[in-house]
Amino acid sequence: MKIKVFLAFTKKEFVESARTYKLFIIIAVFFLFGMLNPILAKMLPELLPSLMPEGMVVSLPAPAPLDSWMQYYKNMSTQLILFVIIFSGVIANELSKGTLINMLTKGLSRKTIILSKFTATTILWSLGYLICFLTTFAYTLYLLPGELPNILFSAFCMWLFGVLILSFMLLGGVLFGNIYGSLLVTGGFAVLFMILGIAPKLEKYNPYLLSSKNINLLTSKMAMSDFTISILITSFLILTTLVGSILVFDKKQL
Amino acid sequence: MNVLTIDNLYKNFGSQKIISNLSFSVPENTIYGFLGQNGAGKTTTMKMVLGLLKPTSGHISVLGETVTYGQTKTNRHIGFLPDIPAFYNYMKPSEYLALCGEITKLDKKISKAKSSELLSLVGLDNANKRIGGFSRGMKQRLGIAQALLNEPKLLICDEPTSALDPIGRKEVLDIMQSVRGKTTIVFSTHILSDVERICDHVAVLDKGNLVLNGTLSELKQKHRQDTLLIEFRTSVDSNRFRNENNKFTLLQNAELTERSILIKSNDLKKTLEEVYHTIDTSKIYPERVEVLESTLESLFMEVVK
Repeated sequence: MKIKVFLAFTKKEFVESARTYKLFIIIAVFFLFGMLNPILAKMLPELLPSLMPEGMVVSLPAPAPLDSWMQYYKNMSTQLILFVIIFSGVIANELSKGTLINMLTKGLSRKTIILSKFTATTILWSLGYLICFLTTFAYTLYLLPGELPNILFSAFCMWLFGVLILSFMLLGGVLFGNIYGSLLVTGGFAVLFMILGIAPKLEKYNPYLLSSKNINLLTSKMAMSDFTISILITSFLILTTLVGSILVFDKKQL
Repeated sequence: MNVLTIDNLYKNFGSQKIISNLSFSVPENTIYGFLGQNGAGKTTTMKMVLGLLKPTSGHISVLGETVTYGQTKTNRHIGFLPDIPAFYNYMKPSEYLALCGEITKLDKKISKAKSSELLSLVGLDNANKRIGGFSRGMKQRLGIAQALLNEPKLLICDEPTSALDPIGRKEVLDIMQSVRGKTTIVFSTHILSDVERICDHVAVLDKGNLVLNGTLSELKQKHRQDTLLIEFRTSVDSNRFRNENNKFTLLQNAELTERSILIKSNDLKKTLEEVYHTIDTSKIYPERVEVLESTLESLFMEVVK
């Protein structure tokens, strides 16, 4: 019985993202970036000389598949920020507008709300991510054929980092009940991780590793095992943030 | 049997006391008018009944079950209409009620039948468009439909009529009237005529305290103070009558306007005698002499000072 309620509310989240056009924006943006990555990689060496002042000679190596994936990871941070901005209201808006009052007074449990929203945003993030990944993958293979190691694993790391960011977004929404709080908490944690990233000794524990050193996997500078601790810590943080959001929400006066 | 019982309820926001020592109970199948000025603590009290706010101290029970803050089982007996109900604007009313049905674990068939029945009760059966395009009154009526979906024993409405035009108000009151007997209704308001129209019990909240509580007729009886209205054709007449009257003690408790005189009296017979005597001697004939019944408004003004 409980799972039915969970599914009903999760379905509502998908209906919402479709009818408010969020779903289509995500699909379009992630698809466009997916196309753009290999194109930029291919065109850049041809474009660059024409942008330089006359007489300056730039010699660039011929574009390789690695260039396309460098674009992919560079642009993915932008896409993640965009995703967070679009979905920052997922809980915050419902709290500030009061749309949850009717649901809560009908006996919908607060835990279900958090879990539904986490599930729905994670699925949407995964969908967008997959679209971008597959497009880049296929188009790179077509424009810049060549093989690279750890492509899937590297992509997984970035995806997981995204899920962590989404869980912060939910926590912020629950804590502050408005979009600004949601963005502030998300941005705050991201900046914190980046600052911690300055210390090389902490690097392997830092979730930021999952989104900043993906290229090292593709060039075999780093091995999969170098990411294990960070993956474990990130997963643990996702879980704690989720439980934290539920506990905070349970105690929240509405 | 009492549907709702509130015992020694206190609520502070920081150092600000919102509710202090509030106790009352709502008997079954009544329409209970919960009156008070803006900021008297009506919404706060209702939210505590729904487990949305945490009482500082005190006890609330619904149909004998204790209300707990946060997740509360008692909400399954309750339908709630917030003061400004907020919906998912991208849904149609039938979709919204279907979602509500799924959340309250209603059987799909029952939910569908119930929702079309309610939509026609509130007059939205032909409004097959998204809620975003609804007027305030339509949203309020949809709010009642969603509150009644799970056939609650207790319907709590927070100022259901305050933001509506006269027609919208009448519609909402009529709907509430039509479920009388099937469900107990507690509704807060500061519109006194609404209370007189449909309530049988009244409680008045002032600065977090209950200052008046009882059935409407009981209260009017208890706080009876007669008021006599004398109205003249012109202000000249009125002034002359006043001067005539100056020798009496009559005007001590009177409210004067341009053409009329309102006299509050504890001994109606004596007052009438005096008034008619003055009319007789002065030959100033008023247009109207009327004994006004004590109204809820006068009662309200008296207790909320």
